[in-house]
Amino acid sequence: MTFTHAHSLDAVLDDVDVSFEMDEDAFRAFYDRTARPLWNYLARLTGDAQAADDLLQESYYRFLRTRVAWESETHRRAYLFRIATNLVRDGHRRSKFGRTVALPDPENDARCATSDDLAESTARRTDLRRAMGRLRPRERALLWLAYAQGHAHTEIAEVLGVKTASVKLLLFRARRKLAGFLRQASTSGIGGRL
Amino acid sequence: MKTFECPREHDVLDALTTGRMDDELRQHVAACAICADVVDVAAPILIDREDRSRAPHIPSSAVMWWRAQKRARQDAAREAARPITVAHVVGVLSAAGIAIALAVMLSPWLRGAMSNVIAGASSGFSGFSLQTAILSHGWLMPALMITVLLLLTPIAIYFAVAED
Repeated sequence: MTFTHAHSLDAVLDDVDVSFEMDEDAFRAFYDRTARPLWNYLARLTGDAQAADDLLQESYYRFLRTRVAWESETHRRAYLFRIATNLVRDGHRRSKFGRTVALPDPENDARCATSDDLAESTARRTDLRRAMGRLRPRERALLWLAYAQGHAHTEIAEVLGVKTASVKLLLFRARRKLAGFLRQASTSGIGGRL
Repeated sequence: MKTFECPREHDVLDALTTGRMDDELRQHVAACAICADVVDVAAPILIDREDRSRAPHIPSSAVMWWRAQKRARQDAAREAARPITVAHVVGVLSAAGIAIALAVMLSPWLRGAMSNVIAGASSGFSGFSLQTAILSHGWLMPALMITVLLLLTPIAIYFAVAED
């Protein structure tokens, strides 16, 4: 791109009128309510804080570009989470995110060095990360939405694009699997410590 | 029939959230496999959620709005520029096609050379000579050029406007 082209592009950008379905105040209020849970969800699904940052931005951008008449705040939130879930799914299909979920947590690591209790609790968190990493992305999403976010089955179904009636069974299976992995990790951890 | 949930699951979740579980519920959890799984899974997830809530990773809503506006403008500008790109490609390809067709029609030497090439290519066909057909019908060469042009134009446009 030449200098002249760059200048003409800037001029075009200044003139382009962009309007979203949502105005700035409404967006900022909605963002403040949903950004942190969404980031947590993305971080847990991808196992990568950097990827969660990028996906957070992409999710809100796509959300703003959609022309959907929202029935309720719950519907709006479910729609946002669905966009995020699809982005993670697409990234996973392209093998963008690894299967191991081990988010760095320097704060916990530092505390771990100073106290045995905290070391124990850090070990538990590490177990959870590893166990979650062994689940499929949809299972991670199900468990996080159900237990960390406290979403109802209807909302989970909307986010994941499955039937509400299926959520019960899928959640049961995912929970069984994770509980099994956690027990396994805890048994080997105790064995390792003895 | 196998059951996938326990009616007391919500009580267990409430108890985990508030950190208060009475003896009766504790006994139920000890006896119920579903609720035992809920405790094993939901308790560490809730702790993990609390940890993450303290992580200072999230950009402010103002920054996010500004970035979205900027990107929407860039996308809109790109969309607006797309027909211009298409027009450029079509123009260049048309000019090239016309130039070649004219050169072939006007230059006897070039016409002869092209006929030889085509004769070589069509030598495998029995009972039909493309060389003869081209020599006997003056319009055939420009028609062939236009056909090739029509086939190549959509492909060229695709590569010109395709992102990434």
